[in-house]
Amino acid sequence: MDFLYKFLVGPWIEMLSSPVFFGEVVIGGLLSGVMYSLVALGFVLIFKASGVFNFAQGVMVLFAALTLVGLMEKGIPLLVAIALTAVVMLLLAIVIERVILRYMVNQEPIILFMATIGLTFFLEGFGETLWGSDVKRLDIGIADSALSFPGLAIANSYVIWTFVGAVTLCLLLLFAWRVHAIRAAYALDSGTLAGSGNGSKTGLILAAFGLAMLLQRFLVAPDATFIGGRASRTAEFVASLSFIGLALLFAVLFFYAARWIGAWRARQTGAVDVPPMHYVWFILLGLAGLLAVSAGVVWAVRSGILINGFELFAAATAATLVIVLGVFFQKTRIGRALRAVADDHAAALSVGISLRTIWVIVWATAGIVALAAGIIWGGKSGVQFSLSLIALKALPVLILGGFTSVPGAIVGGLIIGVGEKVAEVYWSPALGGAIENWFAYILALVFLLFRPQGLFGEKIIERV
Amino acid sequence: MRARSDAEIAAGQVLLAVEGISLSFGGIKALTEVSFDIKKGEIRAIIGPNGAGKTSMLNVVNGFYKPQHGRIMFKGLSHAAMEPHEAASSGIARTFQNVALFKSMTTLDNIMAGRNLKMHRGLFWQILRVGPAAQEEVEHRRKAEEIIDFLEIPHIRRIPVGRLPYGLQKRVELGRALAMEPDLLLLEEPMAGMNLEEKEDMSRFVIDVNNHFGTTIALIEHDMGVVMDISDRVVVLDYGRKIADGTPDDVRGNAEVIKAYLGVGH
Repeated sequence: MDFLYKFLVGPWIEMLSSPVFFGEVVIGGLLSGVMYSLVALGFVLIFKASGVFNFAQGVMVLFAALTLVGLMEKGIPLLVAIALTAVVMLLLAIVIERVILRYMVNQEPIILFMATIGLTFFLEGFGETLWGSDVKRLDIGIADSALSFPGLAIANSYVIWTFVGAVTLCLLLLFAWRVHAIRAAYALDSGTLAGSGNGSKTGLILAAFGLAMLLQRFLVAPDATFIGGRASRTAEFVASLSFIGLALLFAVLFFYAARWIGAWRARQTGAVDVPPMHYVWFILLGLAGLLAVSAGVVWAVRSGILINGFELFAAATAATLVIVLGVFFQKTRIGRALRAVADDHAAALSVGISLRTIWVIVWATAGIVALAAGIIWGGKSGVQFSLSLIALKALPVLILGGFTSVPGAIVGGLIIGVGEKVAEVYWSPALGGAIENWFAYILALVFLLFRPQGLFGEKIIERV
Repeated sequence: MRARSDAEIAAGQVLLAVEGISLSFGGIKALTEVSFDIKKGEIRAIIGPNGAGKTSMLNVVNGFYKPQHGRIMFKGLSHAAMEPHEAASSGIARTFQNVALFKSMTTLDNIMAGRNLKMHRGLFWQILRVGPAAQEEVEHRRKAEEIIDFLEIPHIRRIPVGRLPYGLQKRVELGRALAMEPDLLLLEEPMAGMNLEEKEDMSRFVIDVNNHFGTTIALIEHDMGVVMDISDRVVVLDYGRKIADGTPDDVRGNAEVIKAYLGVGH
């Protein structure tokens, strides 16, 4: 009875009784989950582009971290050392293609898999021969401790409303972007130019609404103070409205500007499709997102939640990598060629895609991702042989997210990170601790039973 | 149906010539001393019973197989063998017997993949997808749309090809090859497994490609009706050897060909 209480009831009561602590546990879990995602990302890249499960990814993380530390011990500054290590990873990719992959065209995936196991043993030995096998410290100048903003003289309400405003701006931008994409698709299907047609009425209403909300701040409460002093309830409310208004105005403005740029570009190139505004959107969305995240972090830290600065840095790195890789894979010639190679070697060759170049690019990219993971894991727990074993933690992440999905690797990592931490903290009394060590694998097992392709993987349908 | 008269073909310029090609796998001889040529602008059929070496022949031209003997002349340049990449960049495109499409990619992406060699922006721009790379995408997208319109498949533009019916997959594969703007198009059994209506559509596309774009076409096909209708000249292989070469009428009457297809009377 006692066990059942501890297992089924106790944890929930604890969660509800101190929500701030629960929030901390979840945030900690999310942030460490991002670190798993980072390793899993390397696997996904190579699997997506060549259908090979690269057993050596974990060792590539170790090798990258060893090289980085080795270079730094020689007195090379951090940033230069990172650049040099990236070059080393590129060279490694070229050597791997020359020595191993070149002879494996059109072979069964299992044979390629065996080759990567061989590579694992080689790299492990080679790395330790070059740089020694003792545990090393990697210092990247970001403290592994909770964040605090003691000297920041901005009132809390100001931070909160910045957060709300920036989030609204993000959502509106996403919405406008989506609308534009759909319009462009329709225009394409009907053979007309996108960028013409109406929609301006909605825009006008939105803009007027936004302007009104913005102006009321000066009309209703011109003397409300936000910086330094305490703000009244009314002032906070007014501030929030004006921020949302500003966000609306900007969104409308950006939407029309982007559409105008799109139409102008279309006239210039005579193209049928009008998509060329990605970078405008990406920069805006990135800025708004950054604002939202930083305001959110400051807000959370101010209200007493502990956030680890190092893990936050890891999360930011992973997010950047994912966005860049996503665009690269989905929207570019080389990304398309990578996907083509994964689907069918012979067909890829027949359209003139060079397997060798593609493999070098894939392995070099996986090497760079390994370097990022190496910096973060090495900085967190020191550079040592056990770093290559984090590959084992990436396996459940992949099973959860699906082997072929970049977003899957991220979501899988987050789920496992949060699940682990929450289970460890709340279910320890019932199950006796050390849950963190096995939780991921049990979760993966459950997924294998019920959804073997993972959350985002492509369902394999065999026609018989 | 045939686009050109015999006299026109005889006067034409040779685009591709294979000379004395021999290919074996271990002890098995797939091709023995095969020579023939393909002239600019013609539709050339390669026929023969199963196992005659037709596919091997295409694989040699396309660079998948390296013959032990013989030479390949393409556009006046002589090679002992081609690399697939080299063949593609010098203007040879192909389709496959059992549809080799990129199944998880959309129709549009498959056709854009065919533009691979025509796009030149470097990795740096590609990763960021800004400036020149984005502009280049738009330009090539226009070409891809032309091909989609030409093949009458705009409705399946954004569908992953793995979900399409077989006949449409064949058409997308043709589209991908056309996107390469090839000088020589190799079609491996373009009508295999199709019903009558689909076969007629496909024949029309093959002839249209030949007429509109002036693309030289070499095709392998089992449907004799189609072959005799659309091709200008036919080469017949049997057990890896060439047994006949000429216009459809010549080949139809050839005693060796009849023997190869029907067996010897007892």
